[in-house]
Amino acid sequence: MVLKDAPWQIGNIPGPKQAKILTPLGAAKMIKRAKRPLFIVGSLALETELNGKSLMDYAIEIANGGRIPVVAVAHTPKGFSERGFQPDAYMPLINIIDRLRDADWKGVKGEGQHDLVVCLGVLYYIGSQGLSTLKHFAPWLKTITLCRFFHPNAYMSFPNMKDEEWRRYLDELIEELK
Amino acid sequence: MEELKKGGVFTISDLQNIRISIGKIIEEEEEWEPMGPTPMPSIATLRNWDFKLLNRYKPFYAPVCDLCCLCTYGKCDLTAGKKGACGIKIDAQQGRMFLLISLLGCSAHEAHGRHLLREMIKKHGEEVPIDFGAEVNVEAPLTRLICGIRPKTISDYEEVFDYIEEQIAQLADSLHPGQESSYMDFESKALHLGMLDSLSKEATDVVQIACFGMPSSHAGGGPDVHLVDVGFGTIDTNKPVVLVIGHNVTPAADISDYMMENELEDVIELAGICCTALDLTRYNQRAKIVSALGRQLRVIRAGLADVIVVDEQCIRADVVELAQRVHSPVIATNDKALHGLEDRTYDEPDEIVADLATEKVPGVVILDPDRVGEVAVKTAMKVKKRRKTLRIILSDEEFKNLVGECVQCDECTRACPNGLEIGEAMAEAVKGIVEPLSDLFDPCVGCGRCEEVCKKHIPIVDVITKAAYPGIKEEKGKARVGRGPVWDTEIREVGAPIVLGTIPGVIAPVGCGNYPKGTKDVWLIAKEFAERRYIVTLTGCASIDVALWKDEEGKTLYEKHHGAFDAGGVLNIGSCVSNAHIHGAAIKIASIFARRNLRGNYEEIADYILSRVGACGVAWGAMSDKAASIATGFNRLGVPVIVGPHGSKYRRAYLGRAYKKGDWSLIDARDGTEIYFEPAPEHLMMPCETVEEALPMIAKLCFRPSDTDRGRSIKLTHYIDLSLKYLSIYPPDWHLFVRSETDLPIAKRKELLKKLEDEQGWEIDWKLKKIKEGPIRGYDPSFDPTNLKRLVRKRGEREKG
Ligand code: SF4
Ligand code: SF4
Ligand code: SF4
Repeated sequence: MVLKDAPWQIGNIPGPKQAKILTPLGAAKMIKRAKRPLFIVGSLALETELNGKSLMDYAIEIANGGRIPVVAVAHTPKGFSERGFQPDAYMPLINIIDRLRDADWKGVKGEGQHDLVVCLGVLYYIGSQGLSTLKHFAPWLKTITLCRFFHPNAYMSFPNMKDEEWRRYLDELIEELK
Repeated sequence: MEELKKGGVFTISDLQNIRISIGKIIEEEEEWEPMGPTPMPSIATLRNWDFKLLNRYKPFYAPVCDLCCLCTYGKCDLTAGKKGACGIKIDAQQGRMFLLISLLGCSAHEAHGRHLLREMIKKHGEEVPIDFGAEVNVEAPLTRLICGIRPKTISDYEEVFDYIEEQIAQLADSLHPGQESSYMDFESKALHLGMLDSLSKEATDVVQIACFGMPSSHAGGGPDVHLVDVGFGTIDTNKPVVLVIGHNVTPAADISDYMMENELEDVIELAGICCTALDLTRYNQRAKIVSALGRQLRVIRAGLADVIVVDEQCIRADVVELAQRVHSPVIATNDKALHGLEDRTYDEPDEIVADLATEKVPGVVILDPDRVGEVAVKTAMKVKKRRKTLRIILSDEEFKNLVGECVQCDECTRACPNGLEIGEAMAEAVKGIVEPLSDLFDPCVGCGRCEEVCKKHIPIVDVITKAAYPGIKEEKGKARVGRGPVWDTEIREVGAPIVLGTIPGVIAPVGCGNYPKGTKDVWLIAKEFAERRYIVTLTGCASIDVALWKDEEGKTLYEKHHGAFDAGGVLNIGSCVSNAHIHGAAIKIASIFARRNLRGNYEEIADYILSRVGACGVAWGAMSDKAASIATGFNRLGVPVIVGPHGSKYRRAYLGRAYKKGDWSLIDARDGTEIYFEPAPEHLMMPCETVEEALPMIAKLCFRPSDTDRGRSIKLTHYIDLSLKYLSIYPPDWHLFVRSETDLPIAKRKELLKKLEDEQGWEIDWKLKKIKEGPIRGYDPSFDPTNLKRLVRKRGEREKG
């Protein structure tokens, strides 16, 4: 049985500062409390289905429920346009991370730098690298991850889970955001 | 002393206060070109150029580890701005780590070259001429550019390697605690190492082309090089198989010579993995390439080899253990990788063969490459008889039992670099559905980590190989052999269309096989751009992996596309050291087409390339330290590089920020005016998450400020088209690259003008179908972009134009 808060990729042990476990309720509270949250949706959202429902659909429900601006990364614009959803921005993951570490950047809506980043569906290891950048170089930011893989470089992360439990987590989060 | 130089007579009593050093006679070099400002630059000579790059393309760090343990004060926690006991911060520490990575990469190329040169001088003497035929006058553009030397014989490279080694020692020193402290300076040093890496590669390839008669522009070279067999399925296992692995071709060449001298070419199968295989096929066109590096573990474990000969770099650390499992003896041939084996260099060959063939020893070391051939061939012949009865691929029964053992614990998935869902595939195999398991064969990078964690001790790699075996047996591709230098005559033809943009770019898929989703992606990259009539230049593992895939007509890209350095070409330049010729092609555009002086003139040439040569390196499976130094060498010369998502673990990228106007200013060399320009190229080194993301990005990184409107419209067409094809959207920033309506492709001009008006608020004169207001700058066909103030033309030059 995989530990709930062990790095999902076994060797991905960054250092003394590691994420705490996030619950759906905790995630909903952080999203609601944030002044300028941002939602990054990555490539795995296109490939993942939970009980026949695409992770893209979960992403859209979370974005709508939490009224969070969305940055589509990798080739997720494809999945969003198929669903008639217009993300607020498109750019590669590395570029949004670079903007988030720039204190002068004004955010995807031009209203100011973000204070919370929510990640879903980003390829694990490149996502972990991006979270590491933000941990070290963007002290104004909190980062949370909603995948079923524990991300030690995040501020808070959903634990390691099997699909069924993860589906419950996402449903609960969507419910809380309503 | 003038007398002395001219060869005049002098008497010792004439000399006062003069030190005479005997040992090397330095001949006065003929004046082939005036010497530029920076021959043999030392570590700070090009710092200003580096800082220009780094201020536009800011170092971006993604630490893999938050700690430092490089001295006994440590481990120090450097998280989020905490300083280590020596005072260093996390950004500088990341720069330091990247410098270390580049140091390892450059050292590998340099030491390979130095070793090769020594062997070649021992064997052929110092005077082997560097003559690449009538089409290649600029034989060594990097050597000329960096060192100010025009090499005539291989011994001219002694001085080049001396220079690189001295620089390597200085740079290694700067890594020590208490030395360099600024991340910008660490980066400048890494760029220096990248440049030295490119020089090392060129030096190595020039020496091996000259000594082994590898293709250049003599008959049968360049676009006309032969095709060779690639793939598991091309190996005739009815014959004794000698398998060579690594990067230094000397022992493999000796094996080939021995086979030829003893008329064993039809009797023995000589095949290789990785760059040694690529270089071997440049020497012996009957040799075969089994695979790139990513399959090393699987090729060894599949038991193809009756003897394995390893030289240097990218050899698995457990090669002897793996080989023992399948009863393949190992011969180590390079003192940098001895694998704990006994040195038997000077023993009688037959004694060594007997010990290897009877498995008295698992392997031996033979350090004289001229003694490897006989032992390897004789061993393979003997071992073959004994191994004939071995069955190495799992039986159906064994396969069934093993997949039944799996408890779907997911530990293998957690250990797998690509997170492959092995347990799920095993569960399907239990039901008799093997496709999910066989589908894992290509995305598997062959690391073996899954097996290290499986509590059920399932030989997962063998299980996947068994599932995929019917397909693997049929894997038969074709690759062009590495052609080496791009010809000067080719550059004369394409220099203008590249600089003007009508050939929209040179795309260089290079490097290793740490792909996120298998080899097919690198094939897709090469195919997309070749079909769009870019020039595709491949080297290293990428050049092998593309040869594994065929189109509907059963043709590989090498069979479908021509091999000339021209629009639509798919060129195998050669092994990793050969990729210096891609730098070389860019440099030759500046020197042959634009007539810039090369000699000791690095900064000016790099400035030219950055502003005018639309080229982009793609190391989609970048894995090694060498790949990092290769990329950094491209970067200092002004060529951007994209790496796959695993490349994010190099922990450093160079990213431009298109939204910061101040970062994007150039000087018009005609009169010194400062011009704000579009972000072209936008980034210098970046990882992409998926190939779909990378494809439009590669096209984007080919924009250059010098593009003519026709060239720009072609580049824009591909950028938009690739984005629509793979992302289903218009690129959000395509408008940044529009300078005037003539930059827009004619067929779509109206539609695009409308988009500019509606989405970007640009002012359009619809009567004249012209843009009135909006672009970052207007299109000026005689714009002469430079980043260097000193290149602003003086009044007289200006009047001449
Ligand atoms: S080199 Fe500096 S940061 Fe690293 S362990 Fe030593 S004191 Fe700490
Ligand atoms: S680690 Fe072994 S038992 Fe566990 S899922 Fe993987 S193959 Fe099965
Ligand atoms: S050998 Fe293949 S399946 Fe196993 S961990 Fe490595 S990449 Fe994954």
